[in-house]
Amino acid sequence: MPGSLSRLLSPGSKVGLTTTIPVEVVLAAGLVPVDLNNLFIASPQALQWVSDAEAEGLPRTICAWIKGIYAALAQHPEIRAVIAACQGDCSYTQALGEILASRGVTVVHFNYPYPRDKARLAQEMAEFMAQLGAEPAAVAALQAKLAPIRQALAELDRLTWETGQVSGRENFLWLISSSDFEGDPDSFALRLNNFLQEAVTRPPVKDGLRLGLIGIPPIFTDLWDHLEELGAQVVFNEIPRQFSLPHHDGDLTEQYYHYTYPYDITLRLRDIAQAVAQRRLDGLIHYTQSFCFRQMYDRLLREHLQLPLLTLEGDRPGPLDSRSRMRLEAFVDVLR
Amino acid sequence: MAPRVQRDPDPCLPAALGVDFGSRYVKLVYGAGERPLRRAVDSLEFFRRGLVREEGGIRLNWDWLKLPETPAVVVTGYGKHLLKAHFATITEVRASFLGAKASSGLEDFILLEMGGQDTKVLLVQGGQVMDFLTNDRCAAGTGRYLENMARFLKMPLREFSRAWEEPVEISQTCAIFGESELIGHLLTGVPPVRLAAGVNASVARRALALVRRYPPLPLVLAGGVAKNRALVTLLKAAGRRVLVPPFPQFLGAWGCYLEARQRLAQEAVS
Repeated sequence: MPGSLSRLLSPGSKVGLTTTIPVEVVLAAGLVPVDLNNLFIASPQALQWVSDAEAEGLPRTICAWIKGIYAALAQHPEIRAVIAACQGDCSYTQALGEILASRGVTVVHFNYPYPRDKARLAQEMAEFMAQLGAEPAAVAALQAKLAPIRQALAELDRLTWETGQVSGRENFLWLISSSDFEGDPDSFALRLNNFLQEAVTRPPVKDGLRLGLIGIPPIFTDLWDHLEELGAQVVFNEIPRQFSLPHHDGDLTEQYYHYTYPYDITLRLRDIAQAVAQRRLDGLIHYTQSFCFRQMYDRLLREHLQLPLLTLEGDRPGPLDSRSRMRLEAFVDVLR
Repeated sequence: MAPRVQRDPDPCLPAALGVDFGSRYVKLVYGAGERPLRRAVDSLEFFRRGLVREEGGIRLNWDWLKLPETPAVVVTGYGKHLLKAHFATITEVRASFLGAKASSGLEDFILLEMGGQDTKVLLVQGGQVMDFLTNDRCAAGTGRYLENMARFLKMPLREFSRAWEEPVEISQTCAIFGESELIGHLLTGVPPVRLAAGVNASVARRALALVRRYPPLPLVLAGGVAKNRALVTLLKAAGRRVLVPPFPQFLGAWGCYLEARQRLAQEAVS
């Protein structure tokens, strides 16, 4: 299609994602999706990257994930195009997109409609396909191809909360990787199936406190391990699970219509309440990012979820600080 | 500190020690029965001289502490991980809860503990911790902040802590920006006592914002900041019933002491 991203870039080119967007479309356009958040947080230099971004003029008082994305792109000049989701993620992404565009990066927007609206989402989806140069038939084929992987991720999630054979940290890492399938769904599927085959041979874990982690993915590196040391298991990673699109019935629009993250909180509250009951959670940890608008949801979560809730705030990447450790320890102690 | 409810399980048992590692002081409660010794030692001094590093970890320097050695020690606070291998530890929240419950004799209350750097709020209902909050990322409104402000105004802390009338409006809660705000007021001729009142009022506002999330239960005010009379007056003026236990800064150490006594009694039984 003339002017589309697939015309602009050669097949197999990497395209950066600022959050989870319909990755089927990117793949159907012959491009390789790279979740920039994962690129940032997986780097041993993550903390340095945030400082680098600040040295280039990004304010200290904005979300570190945005600065991390910015710096990740500076480190990866081969990524010449970015899909920015502003509506449905955050307005920092809007300014980030403009800064990137001024640096010569091609920025394509995908906006989740707010308020949630299926017709508008379908329209957005059609425009997105056109902008990327993905044929509807190819997109449908990709959706069918990813469906068993999404099902395998749902199985992995079940092994976390039902049998305890998959740890909270493993659960987090696999689910969070489903935003881009690490750029290669085939090899992702292979590794995932191998992992599952091994996991089912593990002895079930039944004891310990059962916690849910809600809110955006934590920037802390050792949260799950620390909780395990305290005798608590994370058996629900709310947003990473949503990234895996656990509602995979219907067409692509339907699938992303049931995705809870980008819309109003009502949908999230319903999803969390369901998990609390099904997964028999003892308590919730609400992770909030410093300077993120989603911190304001803390109040609504506390009002609507009748379960002990600890709010944990993180700013920069790295291990838990001593105050956060103290708070987690006290929370686990109180639940016991 | 005289507990009203929780009695020593057996005053004839050997001595016990409760230790609370705070950011400014390490608090110790030592002895048997209901009138144990209390001692606060500067934290740095305690780290330097109260602890002995040797092969196999760290132990308490009983000689320097001038206390007869006892195995019945329970520790809380920032340094508790250092001593984890040798002594029982409990979380800061549990220590404060045990101390507050024993000293207030209440089963339903809100504990507001404002220490050197930390503020804790515990909701206690039916004699159990139902929820808690702690300050995060910011130490405004804590003891160190008030000390800094008093020093800046060159006022003795005692005098500073009594000021509550005619407060000027202090909008900044950041310790550093707060100072520049005070300069602005000083330049316009506002007397320091009104500035002190303004700082105290800003701390009271912060405290109320924290406790208003919970039902209007009596407030047990503890930590070093509980000695700030202006804060107590302002909290009462806001319609809260406020109880300040004697020696409010020893609540955590007291909770550890009670826990240590309890464990001694359990061991004696088994």
